[in-house]
This record gives sequence, structure tokens and C-alpha cells, in this order.
Amino acid sequence: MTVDALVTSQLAARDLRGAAETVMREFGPSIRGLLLTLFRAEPDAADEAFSLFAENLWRHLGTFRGESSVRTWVYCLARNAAVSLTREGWRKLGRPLQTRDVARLVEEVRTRSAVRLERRSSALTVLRDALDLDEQTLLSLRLDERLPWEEIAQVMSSGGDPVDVVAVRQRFTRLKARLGELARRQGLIR
Amino acid sequence: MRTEESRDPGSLSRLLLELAEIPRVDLPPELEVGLRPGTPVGRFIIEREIGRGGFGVVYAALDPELGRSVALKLLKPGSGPARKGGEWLRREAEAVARLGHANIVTLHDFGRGPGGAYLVFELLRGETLSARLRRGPLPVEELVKVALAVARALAHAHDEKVLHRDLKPANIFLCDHGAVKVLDFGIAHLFENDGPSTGGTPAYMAPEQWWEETGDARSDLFALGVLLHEMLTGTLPFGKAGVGKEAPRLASTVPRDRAPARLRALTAALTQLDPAARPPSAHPVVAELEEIEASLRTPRHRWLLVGAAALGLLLGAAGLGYALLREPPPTDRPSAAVADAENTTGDPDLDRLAELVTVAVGESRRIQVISRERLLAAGRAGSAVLPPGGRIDARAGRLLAALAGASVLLVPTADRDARGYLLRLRGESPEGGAALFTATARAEGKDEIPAALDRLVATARGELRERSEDLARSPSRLAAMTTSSLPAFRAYVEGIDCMAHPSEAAGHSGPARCAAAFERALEQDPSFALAHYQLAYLRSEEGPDRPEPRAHIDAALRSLQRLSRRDAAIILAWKAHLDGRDEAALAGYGGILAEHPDDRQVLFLAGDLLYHRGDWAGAAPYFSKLHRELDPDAEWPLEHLARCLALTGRSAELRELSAGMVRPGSPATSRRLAIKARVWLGDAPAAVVQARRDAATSASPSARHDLLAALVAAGQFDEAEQVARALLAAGGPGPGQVADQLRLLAILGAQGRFAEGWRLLQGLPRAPEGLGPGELALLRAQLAAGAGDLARLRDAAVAAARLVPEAAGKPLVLLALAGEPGLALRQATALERGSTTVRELEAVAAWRRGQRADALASVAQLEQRSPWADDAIIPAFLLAEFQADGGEPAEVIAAVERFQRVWPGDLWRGWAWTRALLLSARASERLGRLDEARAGVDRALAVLRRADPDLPLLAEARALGVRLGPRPRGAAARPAR
Repeated sequence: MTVDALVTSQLAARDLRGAAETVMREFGPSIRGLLLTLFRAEPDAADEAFSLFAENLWRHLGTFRGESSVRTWVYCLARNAAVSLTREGWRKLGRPLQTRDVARLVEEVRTRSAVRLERRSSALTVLRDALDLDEQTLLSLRLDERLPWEEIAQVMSSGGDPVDVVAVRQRFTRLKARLGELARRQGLIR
Repeated sequence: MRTEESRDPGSLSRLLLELAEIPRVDLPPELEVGLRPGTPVGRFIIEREIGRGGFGVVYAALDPELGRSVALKLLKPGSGPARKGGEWLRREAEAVARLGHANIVTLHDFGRGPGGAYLVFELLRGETLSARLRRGPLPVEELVKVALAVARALAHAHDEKVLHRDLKPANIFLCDHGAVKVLDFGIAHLFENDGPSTGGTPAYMAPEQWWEETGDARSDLFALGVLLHEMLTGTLPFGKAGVGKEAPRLASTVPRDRAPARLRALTAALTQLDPAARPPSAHPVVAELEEIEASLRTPRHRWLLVGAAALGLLLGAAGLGYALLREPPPTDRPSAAVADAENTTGDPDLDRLAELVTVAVGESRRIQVISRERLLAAGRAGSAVLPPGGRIDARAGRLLAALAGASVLLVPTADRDARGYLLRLRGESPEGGAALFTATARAEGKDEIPAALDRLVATARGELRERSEDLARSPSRLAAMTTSSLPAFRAYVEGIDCMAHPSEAAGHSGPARCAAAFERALEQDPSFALAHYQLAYLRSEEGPDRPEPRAHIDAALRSLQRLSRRDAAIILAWKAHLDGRDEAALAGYGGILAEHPDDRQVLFLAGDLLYHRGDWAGAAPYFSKLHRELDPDAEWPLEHLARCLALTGRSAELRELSAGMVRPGSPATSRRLAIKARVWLGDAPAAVVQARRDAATSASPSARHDLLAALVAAGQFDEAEQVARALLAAGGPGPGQVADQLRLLAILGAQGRFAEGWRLLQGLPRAPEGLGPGELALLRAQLAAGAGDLARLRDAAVAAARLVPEAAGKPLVLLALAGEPGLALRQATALERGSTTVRELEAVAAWRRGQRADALASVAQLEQRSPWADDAIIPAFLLAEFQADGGEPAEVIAAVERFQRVWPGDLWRGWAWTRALLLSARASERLGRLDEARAGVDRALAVLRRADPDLPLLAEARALGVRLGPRPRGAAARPAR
């Protein structure tokens, strides 16, 4: 039985708990990993986003009607949690989120006295910090999670204006070019 | 023009992948949820989660197609390997599939489902080495055994070109049955697949693994060395972080007092940082460990000397000796089931090899032997299709052993060739049937077979990790302990079988039939002490003062020196009982149970002794343990437990116990007992309902006998008569027919149809095939007492006292009750002083003299001691009679209720039922409970509908009916008991 079929049958049997467990078991670790990537400099924020995701999963899973795959729906939920936390994070955490600039400053201070390996790591950090939330999501879902373009488009459309597949692909191509340029400037590639 | 990417496409792609990478994280513990029990994975059904590692989750699952439990390994969703589509598992499957070794977990299958790939392994029972190590370092003998098993597994894997690469305590499994298995070839590496090794657990990784070199067999040997160090000392030689890239200079150094020098030297050699300095392969390691193991097997004093000489540390060696003498923790005790023998010799005397093996293995204090009864019970509980004819062959044995939770199945085989007999004992894993070991022994002649079996069992016990010290302390000495005659042993086992299933013996001759088997055993071997003992035990039922039990126990005592301590203690305990020293007997049983707490025979003997002393509360725990933990289907423990609960008024427990007796698949004997239990609980109508159902679905006459008894207990005599007549019509002549005629006679008595009863009694066959004059006199007296025919009662009771003086108690009590206490007492000279019947006689005489209080006190005491007295008049009935004579009416009603809860037996109980009903009705009248009184008398009159017109009881009932008058119109009759 596929995950989608299992979740659908559990929801049909009003076994919301079972369905939530299935989703959490199958996708929870990936979502948590993605949120840690998105909030790399702020592990607390990642945890907060994951809690929000888990809360929304419980709240909204009953409304899942199979219009998309469970995986797409779950990534939409995760992205919404990340976006929501970015917008309202200070309220949830009781303090403003640490900005990327601050993180970068810290990294630069360290970079000056670090060995080559450390420099590479810092350079990568610079690249990462150059990515906004949507770009990191796009990169991770496409290259690490290997999601099809159609699913990525659905995820990127959630909670905002619809984005079609062509636009997502173009954005990915532009992102690659920009990162390549930045990487060369950082001496990461020739 | 070259694009930026094309200048260095590889490096940009790698960079992007690095940026895109999502860290592999676990969920917080509170959100970690495994698959629920019942979830299907392929054709398997998840039963429970049994383990969770970095990347995988292992579940116990059921394979419904093959009816066996398996271990399913799935990748953790979201883990790195899971994202790579199960490649990880495929690689593990590929590695393990090449291997087939007793020390490597067996892979059954590799599957891919929509939820991902999974591996199907044999399900192991026991614990991992890491769990074991949490309790401290292993004794040397045990750790050598583990290390040897791992080295053998590695030698095999390396021969098959498989490297493990992640050997550590969590990947070594110590099975309950003693086997050691290497698990988790998750990062195993095939030699021919190039590529650097990745992964591993730092503490166990060889330096070359740290440098991501491919490594070879010697990397696994390094891990084995770390393991050895850890098992010896409880610590890791290079700490938790391992050797790291900057390797230290020193290999493992085990403190000198922790192990023999050779073992320390081997550990140091294996943990050399330079691979070239380690042994070149696992084979020389196996050889070295085998030699170390052999040196440890030499007698302990010799090992101590060797150890002292080698280490120069007598103190340390003595400490080790102490450690070796300690019992393994109880959780380490393997349990063994024994399949029936595969006997190709054509000699039926070898058919019972399984029982000999059971006896011999049973000597072990470490190995728990699961009885045949418990195996079959587990099969029934697990809805297994049991083998036809009750034979447990290896296949059925595996299934039953798995259901019973055994850790090993022992399969004895006997073959014959030109050199004599070849005996084998095969140890198999109940889960999956993997062969664990095979012990072999030869016997030139049949007389040598018991000795050969001793050797066989000693080898098997060693294979099951029993230490040499334990073997020496409780050796298997069948040849000396039991008999060297196989035919004698076969007959003995038949006797034991018979005692385990007394109801399968015809009629009431169960013990007699069982005794015949032991007598046959003695014909073959007159000095067979255990057969003598069993006869002493069985013959004691006829009375402890009989000469026969004493002669047999004396014969058994003559061989006491040859017997095991346990058997000798059992015989001495019975001797003490026969001598009237029950406390000594109980102390003897207690001594055996202290050493063998699960000894079924001794548990029963101790419980039985207490039961027959009237200490039902004391006896119940013994029967409870036997029934609930050891032999759920054995008849005697269950029946005794139910009796104890009934006799001590523990109705709720009895109700619960009897509910378990009628579950689907319960044996017929349990169902029969449940009918009795319902009567004991005072719910005879429910007993009738169940008995009717059982009689309708069973062709067995015993089911109809139970129905008959339940109907009598419920006072439904018309239907009872029909059943009795049907039984008579169906049965042929013989003792069974006489018994059925007596049952009918009791029913006629209850109905007051004594004239018909006398005719039936006249027509009963006489001795030699039928009833003797003494028995006839007993029956006549019981019938005459019910008919109120004092003259006949007097004649018959006097005749019985003359013909069968020791058995005449009941007729004499009835005679006394009918008004002739003086005559009855004068006839009672042969009765045992202080016996229940004599005390009843004295109480009736006192009551007749007007000493009602004394009589009541005396009988109340008797009821306390023996409420179901088989050999006397039921005390509750006498109490009802005494109280009816001017006593407390409420006490009459209560006594009648207690009387009616006794399972129907004797002839007199037929008419006594109706009389008791009338006594109760009269008592209700005296209490002013007229409706109850009317219902009672109506019921009595209905039962007496066809009674002899001049029957005094009928006249009494009619008089009471007239006195009470007709029931008011519209008043519903309340049921009368």
C-alpha cells in the first residue's frame, strides 16, 4: 500500500491519529531536516517551525482531499510554517530572528583566522546566506529530495500566487548561474 | 564559447548538491512513531517494533502464508539510505544472501513495497551483546564462546568475499538457546566491488577505515579484537571515539588478572594498528579460540593451576573460578522443546527416545525443558493444526516450539547399521528451522543406548552454553539413574503418559491401568527404582497402610544411591508420607523445589499432599503454578486447582478459571471440568446448558455422562432418565453398562420409584463379571434408606458390614440416620477410628440421643475438613437433617444449597436430592417465606410424580403441599433449588 493510499484509507476510517502518525513517520525527518536547512543559523527557529508544522498537520490533515500527493501537501505545510515563522518569528520566539547579516559577520570574523578547510566552509556559508527561503527550498527539494518540477511548483505556490512549472525551472536556472558566479568569486570553483 | 558551468561542471554540481543537502535528522523522541501492529508490509503483518538503529527499524512481523514470525528490517523514513531508494538494504541483502552459517542471521527474503525496500530475517529471541555487556564483563568461558562464534562467522563471510565493516556488540546477538549470531551487514562490502569503505562505528573502526581505505578481512578482525577487549574488561581499548586518524601507538592491553595469557595475547594481536601485524585471516583466529576454549574445558582445578602458572596470580584466578561457578542470570536460561524421535531402526523400544532425552536434559539446572503437554497446549492456543495421532515430528515440533516460546527444538533420531545404533540429537531453531548443532553417539548394542544418550545430551547441553561446572554438578546419567533396559523405560513412559491423562483410561480404572504399565516395566527390569516408586505412589490410593506400597517404596529405597538427588528426594518424601511424617515429606519436596522451581512432578506431589491433608489454600499455589505457567492442559493440576478454589470458596477465581476451560480449542477434559465447576459454583442450570452443547457435538459417552450428572445436579430427572436409558440402549454389556444402570438407579431413587429400582437391582449381572455380594449389599442399603424401608436397610447394612467391613461406613451412617444408631455403631468395628464415617456415625448417634449441639459441631467440623467426602455421607446433608429437627431454618436452607453444589456421585445422592429439597421447603415455611416453600414443594412433587404411592417422602411432600395451600392466582412461582 502506498503512503498516499494508506493515509487516504486512514482518513476515510476517521483514524486521524493513525494518518498523522503515518505522515510524521514518512515525512517528518525530511521536513525537520529541510527546516533546519532553512533556519541554519537559528536552530530554535527551526524547532519552532517544526512545531508549527506538526500543529498544522494535526489541524488540517482531516481536510486533505487528495488533490495533490501527500508529499506535496506536506511540503506545502512545511513551507507555510517556515514563511509564517519568518514573518512572525519575533512574536513566537519572544525576540527578533537573528539576521543573516549578523550570521555573516560572525562567519567573517572566524574566516580570517581559519585554515583552508574552514575557509571553504565559510565560503559555503556565504553562498548559503545568499539564498532566500524560497531559493533554499527550491534547491533542496530539487537536488536533494529530487521532487519533480510539478510538485515543486505546487509547493512554491502554496500560501501565495500560483507559480507554474516553467517559471520554477527558469528560476532554478537563474539560481544556478548566480550561485556559480558567487562560488567563483569565493574561490570555491574555477 | 564555454559556459561557466562547462568549465568545471562537476565541481559546480557538487557544490550545488552540498548547498541543497538537507541534514539527516531524527524526529524528536516524542514524535518517533513506528508502524502500528497490524500494518501490512508486503505479505507480512507488523506485530511490534523490536529495535531501532541509525538508519533502520526492525519489527517482529507475522508471515501469514507460512505461519511463522519473522524480523522485518525497514529503513527509517527520511534517513539517508532511505532517500537513496533502498540501495542500502539491497546491498545488505546481497551480502547476507551469499552467506549461510549458523553464526550469521538467516536472511529469508528481500522485498520492495510502496513504502520502500525491506529485508526479512529469521526472528531471534534473546539479547544483543551490548545489552548483555551493560550488566558487566562476560565470564571468560562465555566470552570465548561468543568470540569463537563471531570469528567463525567472519571466517565464513570472508571466504564468501563479504566484509562486515561494522562489527560491534549491538550487531551480535546472543540467542536464548545459546547460539550466537552476527547481524547487520548494512554496510557490508563485497570485495569485488571497488570503492572506499564508509560508515562504521568509531570505537570499533580500524585505522585504515578512518582513512576511508577499502580495507580487508583484517579490518573486521580489528573490530573483533576491540570486542574481545570490551567483553573482558567492560571498557573500550581506544575509547568511544576509537583510534581516529591520528592513531595511538599501542594496541589493546588487557589487565593481566582479567584473562588467561593466550586470550590477552590474541586480543593484542587483533588490535594491532598496522593491518600487517594482525592475523592474516579469521581462520587462525578461530583455531586459536578453539584451543583456548578447549583449555578452559579441562576440569576446573586443572585450569586454575594452568591459570596460576601462566599469570602468577593465584588470587585473580581464584576470583575467576568464583565467577565461573556463579549461575548465569535467569534471563539467560534457554528453554528446549523435544520432538518425537525419528526412529528408523524398526524397534518400537526406541520410539520413546524423546522422553529419555527429556529426562536427561531435565537434569540440567540451566535449561528449561518444555513439556509435551505445554507444547500441545501452545499449539492449540495458537490455532495450529496439530499433527494427526499426536505425533510431534520435527516440522510440527518447530511450529509448536515457536508458539511455546522455546529457544531450541531438540530432534532425536535413531538409525541402525552394521556397527550398531547411531543416535543423533539435532538442535534446531524453532524460528526458521536453521540447524544449530548436531550431536552424535554410537551404541553397539541396545543395552548401551542409555549410556550413549547420556553422551549425546551432555554434548547438546554444552552446545546450549551450559558450563562444564554445571554439567558436572547435574550430569545426565540415564543409564545409571533409570534403567539400562529400553523396553522397561518404554513401559515406564507409557505409565507416565497414562498418569498425565487419567481420563483417557477406561472407566474408573485409570490408576489401575497406569499401574499395569509400571508393572510391565518391572517385569523387564525388577530393580527399576522409579517404576517401584510410581507403584508405591499409585497403590497408596488404596490406603497408606496396605503392604504393597510399602514393599515398592522399600524396593525403590534399595537403589537410592544410584538415583539423582532429585529422584532420591522424591522417593524419601513419599516414604516419609507413608510413615505418617507428612511434614518431612513436604520439607523434602520444598528442598527439590528450591533447586528446581519448575519441577512439575514435585509441584504436583507437594500440592497433592497438601490437598489430601485438607489444606486446599496451601495446595492451590502449586496447582496454580502448574496450570498457569507450566502445563496448562495437564488434567490433574487443573482439576485440583479448580477443586481447591471451590473448596476454599474462591468463586470469582473459579469462575474465571472455568471460563478459560471452554474457550475454542480447549481439550475435552477441560470442558468436562468446566461443567463440574459450574455445579460447584451453584449454577447447575449453566452446567446443563454446556453439557447439552458438548453432548450434541461429541460422540464420546463421557460427554453424555457429564450431561447426565449435570441434569441430576440441576434436579432435571426426567431428561436425566432419558439420557441414561439412551446410554444403556447404546452400550453393550460390561462394566460400563453396569455403571450406567447404577446411574439410572440413582435417578429412579430421586423420583421415588423404588419398586422399579429394586427390579433393576435384581437384574444387574452378578460376579464374576458383575457385582459381588458385598457391593450388592452396599447398593441395597443405599436404596432402602431412600425408600424408608428400615427392615431392608437393617439387613443390607449388616450384610455389607459383614461382607465388605471396611467399606460399610455409608450404609451404617444411613442406618443410624434412619433410627438405629446403636446397631450401626456395633457393626462399625472394622471402620478406621477417627475416619469421617465413624465420626459421622458418632454424630448421628449423639443427635439421636438429643445432643444436637454436639452433633452439629462435630459435623460442621467434618464439613470444614472434608465437604465432598467421597467415602462418607456428604456432611452438608447431615447438617440439613440435624437443623431441620428443631434447629435454625435458615441453616437448613444454606446446608441444602451447599449439598446441592457437590458433584453428584453415589446412589444415595439421588433420593437425597429430593429429600433435601423438601427439607429446604419446610424451612422456608418456618421462615414464613411461603412462596419459596410452595415452589419447593411443587418442584418436589413434580419430581415425585411417578413415585411409589406408599413412599413416606411423597406423603410428607403432599402434607406440606396441603398445609401451604394452592399458590395464589397470578402469583409467579419463585424458583426453588
